[in-house]
Amino acid sequence: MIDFVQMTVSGIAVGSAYALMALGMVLIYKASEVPNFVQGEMALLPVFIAYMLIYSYGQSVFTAFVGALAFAMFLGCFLEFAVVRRAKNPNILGLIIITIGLEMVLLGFVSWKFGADQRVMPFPISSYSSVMFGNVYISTLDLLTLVAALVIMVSLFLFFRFSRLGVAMKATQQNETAARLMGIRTNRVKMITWGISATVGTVAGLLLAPVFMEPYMMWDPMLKGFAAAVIGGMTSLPGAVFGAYIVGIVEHLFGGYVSMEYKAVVAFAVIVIVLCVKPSGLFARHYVKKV
Amino acid sequence: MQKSHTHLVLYKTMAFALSAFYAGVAGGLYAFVLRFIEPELFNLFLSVFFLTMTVVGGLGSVMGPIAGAIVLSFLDLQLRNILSIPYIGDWLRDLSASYFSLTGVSNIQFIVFGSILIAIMLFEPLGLYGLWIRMKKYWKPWPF
Amino acid sequence: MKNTFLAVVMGALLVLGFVPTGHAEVGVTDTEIHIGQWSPQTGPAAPWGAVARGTDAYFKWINANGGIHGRKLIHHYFDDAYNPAKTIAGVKQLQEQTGMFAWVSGVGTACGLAVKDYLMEREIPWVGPSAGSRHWVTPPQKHLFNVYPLYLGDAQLLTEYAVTEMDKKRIAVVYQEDDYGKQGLEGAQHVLEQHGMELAAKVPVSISDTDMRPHTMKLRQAEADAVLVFVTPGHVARLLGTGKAMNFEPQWMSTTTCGDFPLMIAITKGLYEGVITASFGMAQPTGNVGGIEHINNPNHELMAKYKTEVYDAFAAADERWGYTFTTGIGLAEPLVEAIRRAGRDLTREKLVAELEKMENFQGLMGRITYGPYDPDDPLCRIGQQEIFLQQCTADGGSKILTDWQTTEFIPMSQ
Repeated sequence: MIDFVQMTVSGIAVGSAYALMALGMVLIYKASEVPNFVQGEMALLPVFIAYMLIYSYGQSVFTAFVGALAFAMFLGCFLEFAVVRRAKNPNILGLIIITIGLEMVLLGFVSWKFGADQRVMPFPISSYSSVMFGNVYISTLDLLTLVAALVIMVSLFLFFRFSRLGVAMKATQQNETAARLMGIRTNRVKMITWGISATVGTVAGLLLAPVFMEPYMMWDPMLKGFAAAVIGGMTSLPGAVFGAYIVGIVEHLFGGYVSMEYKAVVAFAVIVIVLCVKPSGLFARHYVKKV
Repeated sequence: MQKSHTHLVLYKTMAFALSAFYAGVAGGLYAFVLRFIEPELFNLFLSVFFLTMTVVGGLGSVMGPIAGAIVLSFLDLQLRNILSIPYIGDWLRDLSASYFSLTGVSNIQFIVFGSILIAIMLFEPLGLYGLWIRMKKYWKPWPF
Repeated sequence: MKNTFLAVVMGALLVLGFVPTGHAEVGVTDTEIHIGQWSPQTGPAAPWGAVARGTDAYFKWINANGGIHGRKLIHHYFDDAYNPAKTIAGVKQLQEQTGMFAWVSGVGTACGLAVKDYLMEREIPWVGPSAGSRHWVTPPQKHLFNVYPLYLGDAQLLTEYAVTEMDKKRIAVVYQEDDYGKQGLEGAQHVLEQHGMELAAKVPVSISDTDMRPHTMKLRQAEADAVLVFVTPGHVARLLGTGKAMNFEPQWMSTTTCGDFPLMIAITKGLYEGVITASFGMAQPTGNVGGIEHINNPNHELMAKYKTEVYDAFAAADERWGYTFTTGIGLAEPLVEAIRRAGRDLTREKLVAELEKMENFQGLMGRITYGPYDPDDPLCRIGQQEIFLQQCTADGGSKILTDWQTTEFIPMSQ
């Protein structure tokens, strides 16, 4: 019984990081209707910038992290403005290839600038300290990630509900032509959406960096985040978070009780099953497609 | 009344099965080329790569993906020689030594590859086949 | 219409890709010897790219000191991103266009296996693959000379030490699901059988796994007191970290690939202290058991010499002086020595003959011995069979635990 609880707790811990990536992907899918393959690298570059700020420019960890988040906002906006918007008559596959191309360019830059060796990111909370509930352990960093995921989800919810910009974003996602007619500058809204998504991803990256930091660190979280977003329905924010926790918990329970070799397999099998039962994801709401 | 929906499912399944057949043959041939096979060779990145080849070559035509595969595989294998180009190679190496890392200099091939992908998709969403069609349409009324 | 398009594309690429091959050179001219190497300079395996850069710096140093019998060693190393398809493309291109005399090192079992048949069919010598795989000697090939001690030996020596010297009762193995990890599993099981014990747990790790919590939980459930870890350095770091967060701290033991102590101490933020790994050289254990070595201040003569003459003079400014870099030198030494012994009149047959005569040659690594070619005897091409154990100290130094030990060769079950 203790093991079951421990595994669930670990699954929730790892699910939080996936949830942050999934949130980013869903945001961009709702805005630009493209599954964003550069999500991981949009987070990777600011994380390495934070590293550079700490080590080459002697900034404190706090300043460096804030700087990284600001850079992420700028990077997301820049990518949308300079590249994604320039696609003429974009069909979804073309946009996917553009994001893949961007991913390779950003990854190439980070690897070129920083080299391939694994790095160490200083962080006020040690990644080895843990909190104990009875016999069940959860590391402090995991707890922080969990809190961060929930805080971000709640703030995004409030943002979309109550702020003008958030409502404008929802309007753009539902019907772009109508939103334009109402005076919303949809191009700017999309740009900001990308910026927010990059920032959310960077939070995930900064929380993953103390454990493992090298140029390829974001591939696995991005993949799992994408899977989680698909399970939850690519258009639903709470769905994405829910999907992420499902993926994390199922993976851990299966790995602990049944078989370690196939634990990644079963997580993706769950996705296939969910999609067979509910093709647009668990929480998707259908918007009427503009003709 | 025609029960067209049944036939739709049938044809879609057949299309999927046929594409799986081609993929299987490709996998088998790959084993002969590499003379060595292990499951780790077929990772997600390879699937993404195939998607890229198809889209860059041009969806909707049979020759498109073939052209895309040829061009992208060629780029993939030859771009690492970018550092041997006489002047550009040395300039890149100097740039690496001063601003970037010299040990990571081979990553330039990813930057170039990614940029080529973006360029092709930005200027011609229909891929290489689309470029071909456009060229033909342009030259058709020549010399007027 | 459609066929013209395809014809145009293929024609363009044939023209671009076609380079007159000419006759395949032997790779030796009056002033040059061409040696090739593949290396993962990019991709997730890029940290191993330092091996090729080490060989490169070593060759540059040799050339600066007059070369070998008046010939310079031209090192052609290319990036294969640990992708066997690229390895074979690059090897073919270099072999057919420039013509290599021999191939040295080369990271990756999968990559090496992709080109092994190609090179052996053309009787091109290949010395020192940078992976301790049994595939190189099963069956032994006339032109393939292994140097890197097999991972099997690491597992055997570590398990033996854990059982006899450290009195551990519950030994577990964490292994990657490929040749490297499976050799570890087999070696550990073989030694435990001899002691009448069994593994407490066997935990497989997939190369793409980033989260080590399930694996650590399994180990904790099995109450292992010594864990052999046959995975990549990144995974080891995370295993140790997760273990520490879960209050699970057995004796961690690992292989030569995770023996780069300064790097491991850095990425585990000091947690690596006390970990025992196998080592194939870079220090001299004989007469020094219990002594402390540190790579930045080497007591080994050759290491000290290479640090100043090769690394300081010829390595890139951001290159790290570490065991990966020196492995590149150590794996190339036998080839260089054999070329030297072959004399001015250099052919592939003479190179093979000189390598076969090599007995107890020692450079940075352990003693390397080959023998006349015998298709039934893997030991004639196995090179080095001895390793020693070292333990990590708080500042990234190595405490030598044992002297050189020769490990038993267990043939691969087909």
